[in-house]
Amino acid sequence: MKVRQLSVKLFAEDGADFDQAALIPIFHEWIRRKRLEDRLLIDVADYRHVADGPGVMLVAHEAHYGLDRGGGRLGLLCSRKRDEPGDAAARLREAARDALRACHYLEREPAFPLRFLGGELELRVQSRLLAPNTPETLAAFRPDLEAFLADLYPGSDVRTEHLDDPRQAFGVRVRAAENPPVEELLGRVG
Amino acid sequence: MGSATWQERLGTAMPEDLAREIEIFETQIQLRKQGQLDEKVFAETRLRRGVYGQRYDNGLRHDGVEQRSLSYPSGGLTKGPETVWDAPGMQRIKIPMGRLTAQQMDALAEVADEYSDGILHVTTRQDIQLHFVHIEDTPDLMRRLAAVGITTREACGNAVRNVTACQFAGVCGDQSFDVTPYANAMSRYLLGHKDTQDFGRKFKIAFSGCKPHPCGLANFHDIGCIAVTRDLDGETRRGFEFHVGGGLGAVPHMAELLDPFVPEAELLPLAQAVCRVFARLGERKNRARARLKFVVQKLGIEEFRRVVLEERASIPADERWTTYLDDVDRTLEQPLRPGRALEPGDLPPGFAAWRETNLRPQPQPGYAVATVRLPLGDVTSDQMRALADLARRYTGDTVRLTVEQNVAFRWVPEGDLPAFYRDLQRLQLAQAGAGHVADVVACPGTDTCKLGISSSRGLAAQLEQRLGSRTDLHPDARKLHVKASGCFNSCAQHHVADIGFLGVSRNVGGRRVAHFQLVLGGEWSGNGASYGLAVGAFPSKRVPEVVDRIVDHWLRERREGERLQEFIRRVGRGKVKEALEDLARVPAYEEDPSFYKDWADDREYTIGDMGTGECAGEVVSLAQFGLAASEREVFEAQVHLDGGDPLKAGELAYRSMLSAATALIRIQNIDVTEDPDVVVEQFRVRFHETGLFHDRYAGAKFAMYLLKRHERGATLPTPQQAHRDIEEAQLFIEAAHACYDRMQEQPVA
Repeated sequence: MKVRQLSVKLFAEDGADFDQAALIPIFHEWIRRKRLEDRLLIDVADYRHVADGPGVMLVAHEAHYGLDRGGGRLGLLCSRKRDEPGDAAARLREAARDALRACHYLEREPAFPLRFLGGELELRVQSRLLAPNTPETLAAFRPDLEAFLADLYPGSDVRTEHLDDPRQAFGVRVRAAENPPVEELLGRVG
Repeated sequence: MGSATWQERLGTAMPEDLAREIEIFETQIQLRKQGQLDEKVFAETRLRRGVYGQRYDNGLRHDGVEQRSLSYPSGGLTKGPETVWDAPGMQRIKIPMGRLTAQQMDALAEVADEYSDGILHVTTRQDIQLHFVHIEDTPDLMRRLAAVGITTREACGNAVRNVTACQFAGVCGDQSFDVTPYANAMSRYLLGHKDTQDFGRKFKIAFSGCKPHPCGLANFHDIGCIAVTRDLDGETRRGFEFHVGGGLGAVPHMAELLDPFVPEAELLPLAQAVCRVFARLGERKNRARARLKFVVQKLGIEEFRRVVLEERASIPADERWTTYLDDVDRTLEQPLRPGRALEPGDLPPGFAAWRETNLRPQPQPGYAVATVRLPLGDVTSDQMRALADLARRYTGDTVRLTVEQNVAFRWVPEGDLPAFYRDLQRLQLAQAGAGHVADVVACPGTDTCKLGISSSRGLAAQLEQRLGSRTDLHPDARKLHVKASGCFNSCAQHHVADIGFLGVSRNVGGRRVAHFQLVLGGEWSGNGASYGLAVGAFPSKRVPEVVDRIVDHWLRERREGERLQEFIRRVGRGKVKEALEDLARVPAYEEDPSFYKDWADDREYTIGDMGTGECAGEVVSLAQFGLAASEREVFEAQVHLDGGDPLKAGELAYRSMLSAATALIRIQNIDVTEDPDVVVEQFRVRFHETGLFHDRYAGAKFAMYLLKRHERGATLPTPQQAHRDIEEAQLFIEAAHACYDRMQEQPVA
């Protein structure tokens, strides 16, 4: 199966009261220091005024990184915008690495108090053309997904749930029995 | 699995003409990538498809320390002059009259998800804008919208832009009749029409169902149509007050009445005649004077009318002028559910406040219009889908975007309102106060707009929070309209706000500080009945205090029931300015560096690594002194205008421009005299002909204000002319500040 524009969301442990204003200087500093080395970081967009919105977002050429409250849960949402060449397996790995790295760097920021849950992910394919949100897409996607999850959570019991609202982009929620730190997960995706 | 392309998938779902146009655009993209299409031609081509530039698309961005290159993978490929191919852009989507179906809302949400950042932004002209869009995604984006009957054609560029109309059209007790079918016919007729393809600038049309309310804003459009009826031979005939040559922008012009009653059958041909005259007589070289308002101003309304009527007589008849009239009453929208009154009983908490500000009863018994407030005009794709569901559940396809950046649901049965409100609460979109003081209107400003000077959205977010939390506000204060534009171009329509702001910058101790000019005295009602004037510039970080101070001062000092505009007229802007004087001060950087950053931005607003020598420093002081004097003079001009003395006001406006020019000239020639002829000549040679004074985007526009005014010599201006002179003088002084800043930023050798 072909996929493009994958998005990966890692949920924050808590954060109901977290003031995202703290992210503005962090993301500007990331741009100045080219913190995400292989990404062309462009600007910071502020959507704090939008309820259940993307929050403060770091805009890059390749992807957007925001502390998203979509669905009422806070998490780092990395949405791929321009894909590297590669098959579904490679793109899954790349999107996950992108999201995990951003989470890891955020956790290392002194002004960022939150931690991310390594045992839960939400994956979406933002292409209704290639991946309509149907059981058929899930069936076609499953082999690549399972192989990827076996690498990400080796030996762990992992459950997947199809997020099957047909008007939403095709999506899967992943829950692992373990809850490893994002740094460890980052090591597993390479 | 999915189809190979959207073109194949959508096939005949797209209207043939739209499908063909998009295919051509896609080919043009390929030609440009191969270097076979000139960048300027391509730029106008994409603009006419709504594909617009965005901040930093020249590949440069100041990160607060220094300006850095953004090295996009596309290298040297451009999509227009100084516009890098891979840089994210904005896609404007025309929504005629703001009218949306649930299916269209779903499609808009999908394209926002996949091609943008998941946010849909409602504009002050009932468009939708998506940001951070890659140009190569735009053909598919357009195809998916075309399949639900939306075109982006002529959303930007020198064309007829989105035709707007009052969101209450058809469900308003004060309207003469429903303007929707007429606005719709106008929109369709002029879209892609051969007579609208050769304009020097953009062209905007608005419809209003009545005169007293502001919803249609007919007074500041190139064509503004207000519905009126006349009794002829015992029969009520429909027609339009037909206004022309209005516009906001840098120098606002109130539209002039071309005809008090244009019969409905004459509406389209007369509009076509105006378009033909504009194409023929509109300015081409000087873009700053290329809007229709300058044609009307130059010819005068009498001569303009004569030329238009002569043109009208020469246009070959077109059956589309009248065919739609057979359907004007048949095509009106139908409610989804039967109307029923709100029953007494348990109402959700917060419902009463929401009902007071966000609901408007319809003349049709048992129905109301419910306005959903969108903060800063933004809505997520998930929320948009949920709003589409509400339309399906309660109203059918009756949704309209508003010029105050909200969404109106028409035909909500009153008995369903509590349930509708609960559903909005679940979406966190049940905020009360639509169209009230805390519902601040803002253009994109420095967030994404290339022309933005100050952060209008950052400011608006602050004001919304602050004003929304003021439970002590008097009910009259709650009804004020606050609007913030990021620059002088007035996209947030600050000229017609009770309290308006436009972004400017100031040099303080060698650093730039974001400021906003305060504009007072505008009139939102009466279709935007009068324009305000600037009172003074305030540091951006003090603007919330400025608003509090104005409101409190007005409520404390006003006569009983006196509106803010009336109060300002009575006491004069001078008194208001006096009350705000201390808020204009910027603390030294060492004292409070937060003033040197804009709202929601961590970067220093100034260019910190540039410097000036001591010698230049002295000259700077002199120049700044001169610029301050010019600001004082233009303010005095306003005071004289308020006092009914347009002659003195006009003289002072002119003198203020001379003072600003003198201040700049003295940087190069300390001995310049104050003789106006000498000042203007020196300005021409040193600043105009060298391009030193010219704005990067507006070019020579502001320099020409002084040159033209000087050429005009001594005149007895009308109050309108004096008003315009003051506007131009203010812009000239702003440009002088910007020029001075540029000169200061030259690195010291």
